[in-house]
Amino acid sequence: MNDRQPADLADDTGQDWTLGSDRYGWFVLRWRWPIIVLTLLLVAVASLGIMRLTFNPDTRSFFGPENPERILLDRMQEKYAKLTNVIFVLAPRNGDVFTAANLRAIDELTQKGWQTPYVIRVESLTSYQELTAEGDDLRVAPVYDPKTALTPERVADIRQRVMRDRELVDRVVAGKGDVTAVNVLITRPKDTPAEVTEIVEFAQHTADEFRALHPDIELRLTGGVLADRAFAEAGRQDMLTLLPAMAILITVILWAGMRSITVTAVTMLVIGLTVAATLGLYGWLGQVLNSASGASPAVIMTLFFADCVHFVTSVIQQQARLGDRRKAVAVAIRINLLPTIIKTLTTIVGFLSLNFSDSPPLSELGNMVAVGSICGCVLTVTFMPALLSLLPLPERSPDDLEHRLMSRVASYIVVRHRKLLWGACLTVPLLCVFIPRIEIDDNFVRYFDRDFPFRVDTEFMEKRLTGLNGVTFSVPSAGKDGITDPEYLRKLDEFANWYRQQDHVIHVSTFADVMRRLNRAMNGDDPAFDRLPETREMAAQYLFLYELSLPPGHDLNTIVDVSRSESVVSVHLADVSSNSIVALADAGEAWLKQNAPQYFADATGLSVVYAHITKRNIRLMLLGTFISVLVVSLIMLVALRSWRMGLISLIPNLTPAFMAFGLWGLLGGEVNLAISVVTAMTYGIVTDDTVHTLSKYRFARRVHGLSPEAAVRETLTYTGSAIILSSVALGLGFALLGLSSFKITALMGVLSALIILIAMVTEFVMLPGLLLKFDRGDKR
Amino acid sequence: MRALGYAMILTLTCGLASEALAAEAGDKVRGMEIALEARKQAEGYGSYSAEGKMILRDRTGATNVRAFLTRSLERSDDGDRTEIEFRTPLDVRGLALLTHAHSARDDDQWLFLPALNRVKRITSSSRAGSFAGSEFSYEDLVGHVIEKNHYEYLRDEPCPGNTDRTCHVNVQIPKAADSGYSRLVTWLDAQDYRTYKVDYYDRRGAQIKTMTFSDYRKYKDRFWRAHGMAMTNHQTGKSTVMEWSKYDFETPVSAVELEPYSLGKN
Repeated sequence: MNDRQPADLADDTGQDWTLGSDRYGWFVLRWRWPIIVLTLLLVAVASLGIMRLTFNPDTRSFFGPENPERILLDRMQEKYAKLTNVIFVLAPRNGDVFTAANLRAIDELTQKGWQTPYVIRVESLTSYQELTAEGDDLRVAPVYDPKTALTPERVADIRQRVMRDRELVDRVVAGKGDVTAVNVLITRPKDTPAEVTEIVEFAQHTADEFRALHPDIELRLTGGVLADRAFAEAGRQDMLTLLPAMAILITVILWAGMRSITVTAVTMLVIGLTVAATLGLYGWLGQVLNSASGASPAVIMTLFFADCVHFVTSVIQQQARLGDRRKAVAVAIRINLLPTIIKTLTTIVGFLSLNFSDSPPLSELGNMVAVGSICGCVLTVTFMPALLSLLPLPERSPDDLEHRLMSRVASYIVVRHRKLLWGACLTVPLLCVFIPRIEIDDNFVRYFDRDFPFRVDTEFMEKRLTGLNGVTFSVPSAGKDGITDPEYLRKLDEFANWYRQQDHVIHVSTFADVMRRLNRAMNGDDPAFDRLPETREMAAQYLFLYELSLPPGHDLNTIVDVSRSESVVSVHLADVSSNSIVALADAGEAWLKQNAPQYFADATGLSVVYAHITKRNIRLMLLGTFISVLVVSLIMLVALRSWRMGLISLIPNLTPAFMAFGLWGLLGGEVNLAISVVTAMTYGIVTDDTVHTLSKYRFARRVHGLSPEAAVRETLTYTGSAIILSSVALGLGFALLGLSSFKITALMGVLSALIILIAMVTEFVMLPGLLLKFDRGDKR
Repeated sequence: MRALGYAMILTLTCGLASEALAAEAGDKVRGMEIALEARKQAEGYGSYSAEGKMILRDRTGATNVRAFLTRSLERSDDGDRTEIEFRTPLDVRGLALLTHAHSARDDDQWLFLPALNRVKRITSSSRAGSFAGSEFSYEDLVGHVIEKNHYEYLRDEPCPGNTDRTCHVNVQIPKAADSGYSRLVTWLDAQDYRTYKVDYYDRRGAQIKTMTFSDYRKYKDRFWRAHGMAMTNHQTGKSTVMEWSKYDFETPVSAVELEPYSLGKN
């Protein structure tokens, strides 16, 4: 952590950077008490806003308003009902659902399910409305009647009737009859986070009660509302675990590097104030946190930590040189003011470019970090020097070992700069070859690691019963009331049968199934009539009778639209990657286009929207990344005041992302949404080292009149250790995000850490070679 | 956001709680009196026929229309007999639903299916299912039998949509377990017992639907009939508007015409 430079070079460099900041330094010292008090007051007021922060529980929060797949999904939900659900998965330990006791338990849970807030229907074995003929009449009634005694014969009869019903098997009950589900369908009227909390609390309470009463039945809890909750929980957990973990990591690094309680305490205080102020400001703005932006405090801490250390070390150095604390602080301000501002600017540009992403949580993460960087920057140049000027700082004698070591490294690099550059230039394409090996997976269930009961329970259901992922179509008919057209029904039936033959497809339900069952029941349960009604009139009139007979909540409005011109085909999938979801959705669309073009419909559903999200965001972020690179490079051009330097800087800063992706592909890593933003995000960070190096190099060339070789050696000797230390600290900080149990955050952390560490290497192996190659003929 | 959410829940629960409390404290005797008075006002119409049109609408604004004829016959000894015969959509043209309401036992229902030219008895005891895909259930459409409900009077207040008049706010609690509702809150005009509004609460006690009445006209100098009924489902955002026309209290309807064996024969 010791950015140790001989005093003269540091001072000279400082002069090169000053813009009248000498006066500013003394200003801060004169007004230090008001600054301290005012800062504490402002931060206190701001941080009150933290109380107002909430987490957004919405599985769809990652979809922007312009996402075409989302628009399709919304339109479909408006047409039918905006349904979500809570699924209780029941696995009796005796391995058989069909016992009197188990059926009674299922019915009990079904009844309780009707008490769920915002429930519209409970689907279960015992509430399923079976269609049968009763003499010449139609009977619509549950297979299970609590008033009838459950004799072994009756139970056997129920089993037989349930297991032959295509609508139930592999959706409500497993083919083996050992697992079943109670599916509580819910429509949230206001779509508020409070509704999710209310529903989840009810469901968990119900589950606990059930488990206590029925220890012989294993109960798992999943469904759409639980997924919503998991998204909010992910952000909260990141906030609660990553924040303290990051604080501990930083404290350890600080203590190890500085060996001073004062320095450690001051740095931690300033970092703490920054995070509190940022979160508070967000709270006051009424922003809702989400699964991705929950990681932002940890990111802010990581980024800002390096700035603090930089400033503290430079104060300590100046104190050792000047012997006066106040003077040391003033000089440190002068040296650091402009670099800090430039560094903050490039970081902010990188993070703000996340707004090009179509996923609001990522944009919000970017905006929060940007706000945090501004807060941090202000604190480093006001509050921190004011406070440091009041406290005793450790006395340091210049440590020669580090300096000697870095100068050996520098000499080594200068001698072999050609080989190193060529080596690096060969490694880049070599690693890039592996980029296509990267597999994108945005199955949203897998965003959560197995610490989340939601993931574990959902996988249990996928393995034993049915999938949470699915593809849905709203298939249009010829016009109003067209769903009873026999031709339409025939195509629906064919479509469903085709889907049933595809891999990963567990269950398909269509409106045609309803008509088949109805036809059979209207014809005395004759299996020969397990086909579609022959005429449109028959179908329409059967349907009328059926609807009238269905109890409340069981109506068809969830699968048939109001004008009776469209109906829903839903395909349940299990154990699929998002690529398979896209493939199956595309195949379905292609089937319709080829076999029933008049009834064509787009595939939709939550899983489908997620399956497209990464590619869509990569496409959008290409522009964001380009602009981020462009603006950051412009800032660098202005800072370095040299076109050549600016262009040279592009290479060691752009290649690390490609190399990191290649390395990730080589290691067989899967990626998700996070990959779309890391390049843009880290660009503003990795350039900092280059700014540092190039400005010192230029200064050595122009002011000290050194040859390129000597200037490179000089620069590496004096900036090398600082670059290594700040890169390692940043790398560790981002790697810590890898511990997040939310995959998007974790991947973002790991990839960023990789990019930052690779950037550190390119700084040493590519930049010197490039400078020595392209700065040859330059006159000083 | 959270504060807002809590505030909403609070208002909601407070609202529900106060309604529930009020229902607890509701006056059962007065409630029954009002129900009986309302029945007295409606009694004696004999029979009538009318044309109905339902306009179904979803959140996106998509609509669908169903038209039918209805005939109703008053019975002094038992519940009324009602027949609904569909005109459109064409594929259900001629389909007729006949109901014999009973005060002491479950109603009888038959459906005439022209495609089969047969009458089917509807054996399920449910009256709460969706009527032709609309937001109305059969139970919402036909008058209720007083014997099958409890009543509790809550308060008097200006009528919703017509503040010049005073309404009795009366709660109706179905006795049957298979009703779709736990209770209905009705606003009845204190003067001539016209219904202005009904709020429907599901089995869980949450308000799911609201029906409002409009365009009341008087027939035979005594019987008020609303020509507009609008049902809104608060859960799904869907709604159905019912428009009544051509009320005819003059042409008599015989009991024989409203027997199952007469279905489809006119």
